[in-house]
Amino acid sequence: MSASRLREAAGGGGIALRLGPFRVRLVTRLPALLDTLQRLYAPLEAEIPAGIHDFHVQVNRPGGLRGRWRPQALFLLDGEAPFEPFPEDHAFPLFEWGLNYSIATRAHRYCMLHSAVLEKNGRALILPAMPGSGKSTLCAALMHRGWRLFSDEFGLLRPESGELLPMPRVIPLKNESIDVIRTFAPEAVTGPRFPKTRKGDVVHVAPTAESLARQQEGAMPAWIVFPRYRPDVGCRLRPVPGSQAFVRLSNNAFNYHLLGETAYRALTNLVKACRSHDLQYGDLEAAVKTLDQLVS
Amino acid sequence: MEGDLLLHVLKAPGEMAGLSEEEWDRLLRLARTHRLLARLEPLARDQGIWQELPERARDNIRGAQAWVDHFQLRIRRELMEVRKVLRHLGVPLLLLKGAAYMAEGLPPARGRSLSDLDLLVRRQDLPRVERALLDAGWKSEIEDDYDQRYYREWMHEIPPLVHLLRGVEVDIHHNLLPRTGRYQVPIEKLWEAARPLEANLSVLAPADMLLHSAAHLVVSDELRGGLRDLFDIHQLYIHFSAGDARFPRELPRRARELGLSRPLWYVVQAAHRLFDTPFSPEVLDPAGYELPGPVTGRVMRYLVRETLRPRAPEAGDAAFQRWLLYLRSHWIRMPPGLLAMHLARKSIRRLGGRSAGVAGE
Repeated sequence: MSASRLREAAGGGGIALRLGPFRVRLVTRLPALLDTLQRLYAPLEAEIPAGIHDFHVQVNRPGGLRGRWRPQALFLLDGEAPFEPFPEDHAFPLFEWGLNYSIATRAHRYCMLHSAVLEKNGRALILPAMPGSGKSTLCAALMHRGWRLFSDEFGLLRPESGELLPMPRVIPLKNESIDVIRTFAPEAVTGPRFPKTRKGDVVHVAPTAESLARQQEGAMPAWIVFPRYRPDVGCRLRPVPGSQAFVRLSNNAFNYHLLGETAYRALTNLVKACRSHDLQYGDLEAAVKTLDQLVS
Repeated sequence: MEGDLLLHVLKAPGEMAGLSEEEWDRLLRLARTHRLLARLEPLARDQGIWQELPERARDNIRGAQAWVDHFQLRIRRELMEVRKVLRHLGVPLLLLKGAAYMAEGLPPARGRSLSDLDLLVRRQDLPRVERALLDAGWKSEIEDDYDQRYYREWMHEIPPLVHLLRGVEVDIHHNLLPRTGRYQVPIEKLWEAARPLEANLSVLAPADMLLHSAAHLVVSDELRGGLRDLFDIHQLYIHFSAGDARFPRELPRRARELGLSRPLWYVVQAAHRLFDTPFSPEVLDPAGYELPGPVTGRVMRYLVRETLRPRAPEAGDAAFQRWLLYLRSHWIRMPPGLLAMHLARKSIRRLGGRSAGVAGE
């Protein structure tokens, strides 16, 4: 779809976007949002909406007077606003955040781990997101060293088969991590810098072309690695007992309590099928090398 | 109309098998907006067509179903905890609405979302029950003195209680409808007809259960859950009349006895029109009801039906009808003088920037 055609469609009946297993219908009249989408999800496979969409989303200026002197963008899911508007130039982070909200609150057909997931040689690595883990940085680094990105945020687990599904999206980097990745992978495609978000300055790293092209291709999980960034130590990999991995994963899942027995069984099987490790790292190159050795 | 697709499927669930993907896209959104999404799975399974539905539709319905299962489990657990605390008091408890449908395995329980546990106790038992729950870790949701007084003087329930650790709202009623409203239910008659489940635990008799839902629907000032409640009534009627041939005759008679003739009439008319509920002739015969004058009757019938008619998510609520519904429900609930006082007080507070956490808002 050409840029002008895209704008026209997005402002009218909307465009349909593929998001791993999900389909999103987006209606927007904000050209900057479309430009960023095209840059970070290139080639953006936007279609004219047809068939079933999991999420009907609008990102537009809210009505009312306020928008005239300080333009804002409002996220609507099925016509309802789950949160307050953002400044209009933050429409892209709003869209990404809104989609995360939409998925986390609705996609209970899956067991949703709060983890980054990547794939190599047909098997998946799970990096659970503990605070201070540096998971996004490590995830972006691995993606630029031959790993295929499933997700930086959502480990989508099909409970009945144990398969993990990809949902490649941009990886938000905060503050110091931005320059770390730019140095580590100068070829990384990045979006505009969004200053002063709730999490500080944010720059998004685009998923690699291969990650996007193969987003319908799932994988069985093989490794669970709990990363922890410690600037003062070298790289240390230590096995973690399955029972401990289970507790940490379940406490960190989006819908473990909601799914109850289904999630209990799914995570039990997941932990049994995986080798679990703690990873302390102060240096990205060393961490990537350690993980490559682990999986080879 | 856009919303007709949802009505069409609820009336004839077998039709789900023949829907196009575009129709599914609309149906899923309509059903979600009206809190009926998870109901589609049991309806499709009863028709033996669940596996034939598009996978993306099933994924969405199952997502909603997981949510419903979770909340139903929370309500069951909460009931267990409440009974544990009240056991030594020997107070009779009666389950209302969703909790009753679940306990009895009635059709509306399948895929029905519910967030509160609604219980009925006798008025004289209320202070003991409240004391025991407060002592055991439940806390009143309402801190404001005016709101507390409003509840205690005028409502049919005490301010909602929530356990500090579990967060489920427990609503303890002593009657079905507010004490001030137009419809006054002789509550002892309901206790007499109640059906025991276990020691000190019962549910309303079939006719009373349907009448409670009807009365609640007519006095409620919420638009969102209305169609869901009407569908409950549709399913209850089909279920009870299949199990007892006398049920259709009993229903309007009991409504007269309890002073709920009018709400039943409005709701029967709406269900007949929107769901084609197979009411037998005696239920549809106006002679069996105590009805208001022809003008009020027609206006109310129109309002009840049209405020329930499903709308597409982005169509928003019909603002004018919403306003009428608001006035109507307050008018039914309170005498005019008290209503004026109450609305004035709430407007003043709203101007002052304070939230008005009064019932039904």
